[in-house]
Amino acid sequence: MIQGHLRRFPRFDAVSDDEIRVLERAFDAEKVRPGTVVFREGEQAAGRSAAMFLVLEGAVEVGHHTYSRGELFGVIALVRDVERPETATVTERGLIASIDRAALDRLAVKHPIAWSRLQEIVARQLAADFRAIHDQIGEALG
Amino acid sequence: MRDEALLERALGRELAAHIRPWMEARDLPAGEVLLTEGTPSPCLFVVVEGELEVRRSGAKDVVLGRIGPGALVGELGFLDGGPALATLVATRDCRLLRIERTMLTRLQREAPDLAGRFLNRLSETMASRLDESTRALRELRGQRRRPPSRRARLRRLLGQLAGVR
Repeated sequence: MIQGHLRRFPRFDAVSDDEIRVLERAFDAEKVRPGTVVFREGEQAAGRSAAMFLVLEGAVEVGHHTYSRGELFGVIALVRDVERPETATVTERGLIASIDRAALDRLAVKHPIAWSRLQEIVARQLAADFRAIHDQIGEALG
Repeated sequence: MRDEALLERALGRELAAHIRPWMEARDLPAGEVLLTEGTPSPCLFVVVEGELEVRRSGAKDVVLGRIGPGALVGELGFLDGGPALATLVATRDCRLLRIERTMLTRLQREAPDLAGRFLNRLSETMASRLDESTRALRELRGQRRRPPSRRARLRRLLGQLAGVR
């Protein structure tokens, strides 16, 4: 289901074809319809099942923001126990991929190179989220 | 020895020992600028010795706080090559350890396991600041009346994002 998708997204450009195939197997993918709730506000994302999500097709609304094809969301849960700050709802029929900490740990052992590539992708997304929150605080200050 | 001890504070013991050979020491005299707000800064630093003031420009320059030994700075620019969020100026003579963005490619190639752990550690640092700031911002936004302390709180958040404790 996920085959062929990752290669299309610029964030995976630095990842080799072999590593892409490894990552494709590490992610789970699910077909979704509008209204499907990916996670709810207040939900505890903790432990080995805490996951991040990648929109392969379609769109997901989280608060005021819409995530579309190629975008990652809920990334922080992969790195830290958090309470989901908002509900994530599918707004366009599509396909959502997810990977949890357990899968990430397995990847670290079996495919360290693919794992380090994914760590870079995660870190870069957090950096982008970081800049976004900084801008929001700056705007609030005026 | 001191370098390692401070690196451990920033990165954890095991990672610090392995990553140290990939980093270079740098001295920064008091009064000099380490990072300039808005300027691309492709380098990550760990403060070993000294102190830096975190400043934000605006109608009036504001000091957001200070950072000292054990602090990690520049991780955003290191990861994405983008601009620094604040200006960092040495208030005392500083000693830092630095690693450039270009090193990451080499690290990925030559020591992928170490690269992955290093990146994971950076993610953890960012995630904790991000989580705290997101919650605090939501709380501030949720306030109906704006207390006089609101601006001060927002500035404190900016400082926290930059690594001020």
